[in-house]
Amino acid sequence: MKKYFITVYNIVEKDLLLELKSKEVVVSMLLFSLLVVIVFSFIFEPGAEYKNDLVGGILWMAFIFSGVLGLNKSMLNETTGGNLNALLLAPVDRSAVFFGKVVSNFFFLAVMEAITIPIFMIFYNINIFGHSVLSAVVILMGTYGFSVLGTLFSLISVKTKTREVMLPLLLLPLIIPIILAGIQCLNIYIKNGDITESYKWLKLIGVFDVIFTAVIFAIFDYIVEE
Amino acid sequence: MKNFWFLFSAYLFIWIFIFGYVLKLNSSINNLKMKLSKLESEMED
Amino acid sequence: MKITALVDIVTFIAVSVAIYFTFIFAPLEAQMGSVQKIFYFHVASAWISFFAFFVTFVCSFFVLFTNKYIFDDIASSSAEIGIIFCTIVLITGPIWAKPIWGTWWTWDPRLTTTLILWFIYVGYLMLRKFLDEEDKKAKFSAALGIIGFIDVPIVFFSIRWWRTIHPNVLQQGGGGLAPDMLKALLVSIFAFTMLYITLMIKTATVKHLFRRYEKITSDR
Repeated sequence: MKKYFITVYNIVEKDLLLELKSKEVVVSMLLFSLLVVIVFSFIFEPGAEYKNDLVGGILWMAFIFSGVLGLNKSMLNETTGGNLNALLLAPVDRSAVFFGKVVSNFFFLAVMEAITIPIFMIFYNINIFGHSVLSAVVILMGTYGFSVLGTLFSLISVKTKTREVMLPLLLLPLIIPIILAGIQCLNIYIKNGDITESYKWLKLIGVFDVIFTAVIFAIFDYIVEE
Repeated sequence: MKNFWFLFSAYLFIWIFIFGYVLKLNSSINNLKMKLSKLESEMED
Repeated sequence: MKITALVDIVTFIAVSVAIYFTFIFAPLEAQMGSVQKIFYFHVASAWISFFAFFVTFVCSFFVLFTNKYIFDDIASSSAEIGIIFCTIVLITGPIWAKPIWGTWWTWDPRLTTTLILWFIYVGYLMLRKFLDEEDKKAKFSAALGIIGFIDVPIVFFSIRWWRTIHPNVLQQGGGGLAPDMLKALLVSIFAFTMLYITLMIKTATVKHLFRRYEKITSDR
């Protein structure tokens, strides 16, 4: 058990060191998410009243789309030079390697979100944490679920002939519960709604995260069997 | 017969899809069988 | 060979009987008129598509745990047939909805879940198309077959919570179903199950023959 976590930690450490040096994944994700935030602002009239109904959705779209971009980049880095195959052949738990990648992807996404959110709040003149700090919890839980399924399907899609095109096609329909629940939660917090209303959505994201972590943990070793 | 055209078009789509699929399957089965028997006869030679 | 021919004949008879039950035996619905007769084959197709994806789900586990390609053939055949029937559901549904609800589409939980189901399994078939190596194709699509099927109930509940205001269609239709209508529905569900089995045998045969063909050509 301890060995398992050491493997996870080693993978995360390797990815973070690499990323600190190149900054490829986080910077490209960040620029893309800021662009989404800016491009979507043309939907409204400046200073329109109905803005509060839509901004939660825009924030999530920025995260999801730039997340897809980042997951592809992160997995492509891993496949160049046969790095991934070598990792999976190493005499450690294969699912530990996988969850190491999940944690480092989660970390990259969280960094991107931590920089996007303040800029987003300035541009749209809104405070998503004003009503409840649960906004941060929703975003982190959603990001975790996104990175679990996203890492698995980016691993699968880099092996296809079309490579990165495949990832959004497989991932987007599967993460609809997270997108839906995340947007509903943020809408409640932004519009000063009843916080107890948001608990069921939080639970939904929690259930999603737990189920898919458990399922992938159980089947991953069989998926990559050589 | 109220709304007859809606009923007609719905069933039209159902049968187009099912028959199309069955025809596609039959032709690919025959095609493969032909290829296989050709291969097997070649191997016997 | 004999069994498959028998299944073909039984299917043909069952479908003919189902058509008789749908159009002649079942009474005309008072309010909706003849368009209500879409219901029998629409529900039967929906049942078959869910059943087919369930077969894919179960066979995906066998693919992962036993490494036998026969299960991969069954899983992918079932997904293919499921997509055919899911497409039928998605086309006949709006055709029924237009005269009854006055709109082609509403974001009702059942409709939306079926649409997302369609996207998941189209992704499954595309993934298979774009993977070259046999074992990767089997394993990766099995992973999607398992995760996709587990995802469906979560999608359904999330959309139901999102759209709680909407009326529940199935309870309207199912609660007030006349006994003769129910008989017609059961007959068409049976007919479509037979149709599924026939298509399954044919599709799996195609995949099996193709695998043999590939093997012979690669051996030479």
